[in-house]
Amino acid sequence: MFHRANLRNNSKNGRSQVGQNRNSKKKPVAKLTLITEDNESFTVCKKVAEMSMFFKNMLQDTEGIPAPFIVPNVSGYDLKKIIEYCSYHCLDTDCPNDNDSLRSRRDRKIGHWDETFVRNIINKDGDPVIDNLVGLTKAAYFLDIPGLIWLMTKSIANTIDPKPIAEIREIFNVPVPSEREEEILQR
Amino acid sequence: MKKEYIVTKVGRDRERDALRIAVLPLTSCSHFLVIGGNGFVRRGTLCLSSLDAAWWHSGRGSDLPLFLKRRDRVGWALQQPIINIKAQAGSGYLRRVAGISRNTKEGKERLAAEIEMWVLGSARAEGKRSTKIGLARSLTHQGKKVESRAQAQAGQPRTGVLSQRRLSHSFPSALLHGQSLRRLPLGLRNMYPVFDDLPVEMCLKCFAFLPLPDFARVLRLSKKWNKTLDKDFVWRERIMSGPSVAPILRPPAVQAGVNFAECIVEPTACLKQLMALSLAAEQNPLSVIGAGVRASSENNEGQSIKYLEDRYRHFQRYWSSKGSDDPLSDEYLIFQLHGIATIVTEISVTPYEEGSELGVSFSLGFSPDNMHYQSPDFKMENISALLPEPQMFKIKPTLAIGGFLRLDLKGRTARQPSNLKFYTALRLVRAKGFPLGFLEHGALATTLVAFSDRLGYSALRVNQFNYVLPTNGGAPTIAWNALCSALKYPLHHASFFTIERPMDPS
Repeated sequence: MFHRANLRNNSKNGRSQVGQNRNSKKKPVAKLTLITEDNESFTVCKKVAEMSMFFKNMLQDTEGIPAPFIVPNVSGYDLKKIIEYCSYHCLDTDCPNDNDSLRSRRDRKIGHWDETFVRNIINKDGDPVIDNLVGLTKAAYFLDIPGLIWLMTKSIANTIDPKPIAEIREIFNVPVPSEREEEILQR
Repeated sequence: MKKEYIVTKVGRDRERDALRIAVLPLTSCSHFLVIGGNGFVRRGTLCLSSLDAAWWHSGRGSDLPLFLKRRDRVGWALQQPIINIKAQAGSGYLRRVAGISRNTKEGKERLAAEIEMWVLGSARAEGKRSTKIGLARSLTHQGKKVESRAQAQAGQPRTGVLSQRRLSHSFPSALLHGQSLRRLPLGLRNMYPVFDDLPVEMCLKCFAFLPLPDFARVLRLSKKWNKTLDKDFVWRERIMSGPSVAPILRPPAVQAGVNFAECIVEPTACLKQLMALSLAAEQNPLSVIGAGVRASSENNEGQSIKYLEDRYRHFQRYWSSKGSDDPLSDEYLIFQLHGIATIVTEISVTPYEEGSELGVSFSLGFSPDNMHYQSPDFKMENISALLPEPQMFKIKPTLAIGGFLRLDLKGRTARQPSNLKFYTALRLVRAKGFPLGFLEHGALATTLVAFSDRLGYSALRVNQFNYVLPTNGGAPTIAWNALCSALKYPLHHASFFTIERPMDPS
C-alpha cells in the first residue's frame, strides 16, 4: 500500500520514469541497455526489467549486467510501451499470475491506468487498432510478462465480445470461408 | 468459381408442385445454394426450362420426387424471403458453345473472363426488369465488377475481394515469422489474417474471456480457428471454471462428494449438445414436472399437493396450506422432475382465485435439502379474476441435476372470511423445459450414465414417464413430434388426448 501511495504522488510528473526515479535514489542502480531489432536503444533499471520473466531468468543466469542486449522479435514501439507498463506496475504485489484460474482471470477488472494505457496504444499512430494490440501481445508473450499478457488478451477479447461474425472477420482479416467450408463449420 | 445470381421472382408451380425461381438468364446446369433471409440454405441443381425461369428440384436425378412427397417444404421455403442464389458457375455451357478447354491454364482464365463478361452483360439487360431489391443488388454487383475489370485492363493489380482472399490463403506464415506485422506495407498487412501471427496460447487466452455462446460463435469464424480452438481441454477448462463462463451449468452441483462437472466425458460434444438442447428447450418447451413430493402444510386431504399435478387436475380441486395468523409466513412445495437431469426454462403457477401470494422463488437440486440452483425472487401479480390465468416465471435455461424442484411461496394476502386466517392456495404448478432422461445417444447421455453410476443410482429411466403435452384438437403438435423423435417412438403409435380447461366454477 505504501508503495502505491507513493506512486500516486509522483504521477503528476510523468509515470514512465517513476520506477527509474525511485531506484535512482539508491546508490548503485543496476541498469540494463536494450537494443531492439530496429536499432532503438532503451535503458531500464533492473527492477523494471525483472517484470519480464525472460529478463529475470537471463539476469539470474548471467549473474551480472551484460553488455547492451539485443532483443529479438520486438520492435522499438512495442518495447517503449512495455517499459511504460512495467515501470508503472513494477511495485505491484497482486499482478495477474499464470497460475490464476480462468475464473479469476476473467472476473478481474481492468484498472483505470491500464485502460488509458490500452486506449493510448490505439490512438498512437494511424495503424489499425488490432495490429498494435496483437503486436504488443506477441512482444509480451516473447518477453513473458504475465500482467501485460492478461491486459492485452482481455482487451482483444473486449473488442471481439459483442460483435457479429462478419464484423469480427473484418477486424481480424479472417478470410471468408467458402460455402462448403461454412457448411462444415456450422455443424 | 463462384457467382452470385440475383433472384427476380419466386413462385410456386402448382402443376409440378415445385418451387419456381426466376433468375437472371443462365443457360447451364450448375450446383447452387439458395440462401433465404432466415438462414435457410438449400443445395441443389439448377435446371433451366426457359431463359428466365429455373426449376428447382432435389438434384437426385429425377424431376419432382422431393416436393411431391413433402409439400410442406415448398410452403416453408416460400415463407422465407430468398435473398440470393450462389452458384458454382456454369462453365459447361461455355465449354460446349464457345469450345474453350478448361484443362489448360489459359483456357481456365479465358473461361472465367467469358463468364464474367456474359453475366455482366445479361445483368445489364435484365436490370430494369428485376424487383427493387434485386435491382439494388445487381447495380452494386455490376459496379464492383466493372471497376475491377477496368483496373485489370489498365494493368493495375486487382483489389477485389477475391484477389485478397487468394493472397491471404497463399501467404506463407513462415515468411512473416519473427517479424512485426507493422513493418509490412499497409496494403499487404490488411490482407494478412491477424490471428495467424499470434501464438496459439495467446489466442486461447483471448477467447477464454468470451462467454460460452460467443466462444461457440468464434469457432465458426474460419476452419483454421475451428481446428486450433475446438479442443477438449479448452472446453473442460471452461466447465470447471464456473457459471460465469458456462451459464447453463450452474455448479457446484455436488451430491455425496460427486461433482457433475467432473463427470463430463467429452466436454466438447457434451457442451455443444447442451447448448443445442437449451435452445430447443427455449423454443419448444416440454412439460418436465413429475409428481408432487411434499408440501409444507396441507389444509386437509382434499386439498393435497397431488391436485397441483396435471393428471389429477380438476376445476374444483386445489392445494391449500393450513391457516395462519401471520401474513408474512412462508410455504414451500417440492416436486419431482422427470429424470435426474432436466433443462428448466420456465415455471408457471396458477393461483387459486385472486393472487394469494406476494412472491415466488424456486430452486433446483438433488433432494429437498440439497439444492444447487436458486432463482431470483419473482413477484406475483394480484389480479382479481374468477378464473386466474397462469403466471409465468422465465429463467435462462438451467441444467437441473438431481431432479427436484422446490417452490417457495412468500407471504400471503388471501384471508378466509370464516376464521379470518391467511391461506396460500394454488390451482396448478407447471415446469417447462427439456427432460434429458430420454436421450439415448451422445456424449451427454454417457455423462449422465457416468454420473448416475458414481452416485449409485440404478439406471436412467427412459420409457416410464408419462408425458403430458399440449395437443391441437387431437392433432400432434411440434412438441409431440420432438418428443416422439427423441424417444424413437413412431408418432402414429402415440395416443393423444386433449386436456380441457376447467369449467367455470359458477
